[in-house]
Amino acid sequence: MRGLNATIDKEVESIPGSILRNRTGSQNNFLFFRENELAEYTYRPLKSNFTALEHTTNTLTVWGFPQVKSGTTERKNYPYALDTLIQSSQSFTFQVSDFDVTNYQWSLNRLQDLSLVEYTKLKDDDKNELLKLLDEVPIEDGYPHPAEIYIEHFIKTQPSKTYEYLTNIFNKNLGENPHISYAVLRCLGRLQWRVVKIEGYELILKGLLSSNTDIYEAITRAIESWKLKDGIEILRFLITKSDDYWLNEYIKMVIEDLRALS
Amino acid sequence: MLPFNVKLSQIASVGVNGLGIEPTAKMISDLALLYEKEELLPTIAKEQTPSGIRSRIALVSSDSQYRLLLGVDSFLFTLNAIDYSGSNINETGEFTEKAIPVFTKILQHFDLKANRMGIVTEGVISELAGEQLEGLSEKLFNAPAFFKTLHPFEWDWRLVSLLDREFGGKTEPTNNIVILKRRKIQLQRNGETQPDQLDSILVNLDININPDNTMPRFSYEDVEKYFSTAAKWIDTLSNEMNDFLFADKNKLEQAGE
Repeated sequence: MRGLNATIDKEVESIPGSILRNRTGSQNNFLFFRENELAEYTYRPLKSNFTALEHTTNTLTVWGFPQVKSGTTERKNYPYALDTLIQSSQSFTFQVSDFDVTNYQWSLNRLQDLSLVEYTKLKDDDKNELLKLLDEVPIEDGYPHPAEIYIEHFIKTQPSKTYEYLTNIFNKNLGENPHISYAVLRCLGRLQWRVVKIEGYELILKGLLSSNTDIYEAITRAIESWKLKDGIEILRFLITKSDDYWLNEYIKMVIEDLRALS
Repeated sequence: MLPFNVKLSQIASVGVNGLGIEPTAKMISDLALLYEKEELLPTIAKEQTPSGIRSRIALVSSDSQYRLLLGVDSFLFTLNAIDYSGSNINETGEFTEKAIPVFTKILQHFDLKANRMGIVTEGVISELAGEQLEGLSEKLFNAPAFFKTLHPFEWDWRLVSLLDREFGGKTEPTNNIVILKRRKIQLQRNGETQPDQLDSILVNLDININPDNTMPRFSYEDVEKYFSTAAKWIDTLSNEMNDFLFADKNKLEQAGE
């Protein structure tokens, strides 16, 4: 229980050796502490609703305490804490006073070899957690969404089950909770093509049956992000379905960008 | 018509060389747009082929009742039951009307000709009394004394006959297949926690063009003509089986009316 657990309630705490990048210089979302180089970590979501990373051979202990709402003391289990831990080799000092899961940033240069990490299977707890993130945490342009790392990890470890589950979430919520379906597409679209592959593309095209322009926007952003020239005809089709002037202008711009790709 | 208590599925198939239709982003995009009006969306499917399991494209309706599998050797268009009784499955002709434009589009899009066509209806007859079930096995089998004394609770019956059939000015040899199986099956009713155990007859009616001639020779117009006619063939076969299997029962019911 290194210092973090003890300092969580303090208004400001400087912790050398931690690894989280601070987006704006304001408050952060996670607390980490590191004493040794990364090696052979085991990730374990604990029943007590917080994240623990324990080094199996040495003395590393990392605790993450993201809070859902500013000012609350709720602690949740977020496996992307691990990702954030792994991606950086630099030391930072950051302040601990308030946490907001929508307000943190991680580098996209994440650990290449996830086999170092023993992830849990896609169990009901994980599904609930993922659904909750998709439902409650808004998508913000320019900032990663916490569900992304869940989805990425599960796609890498058990792709067919993950896509089946995401498809279910997408279909089930498209009518009454389209923001959740939107979040599924946006999170997928933000992952790299080498991760999502053709199955991810297939999933985002399920939005073609929708009449929701937000869903069209999510499809467009995914095709743009993946630089998928083969999606140009889909984008042209979206223009015929959308009556949103600005979205259509955006789609046209994406088409031009894709066409310009060599 | 056979008195299905559960309609399981209707299947229409066309034999083609579909080897080149593989799941790529381009193919997925093209097919999503091709079947936009039918609201069939592409998905990745696995197909068991003689050379192993292959990734293929299937197009599926959002409620999963319709599915078009673009296999290596054939395209299969299926209407599957989505509830306990298969209430979404209606007349065979209604299904083939849906199948025809689906096949027409894909054959035109890839400029393919078919080498055979087939149509299948599957269902379950589950509401038969014990003596009726035993009567069926006596009618279908000339069994040895052992099985006449001890009525079998499980059996398989399959007949195939070759018949030249005509559609759209073409005459082709067709396999006409009826498969009956007595099985104890489990069916899970919506909302029920325990499945029903049903002593049932599983029925499969199948009329397909004989596979001996592998030459791609059927245009999409031929495919249309085949399926327009094949619905009646299946219905006729179903009527004949019903008369054969349940003539006594039907007479009794008519007398009761």
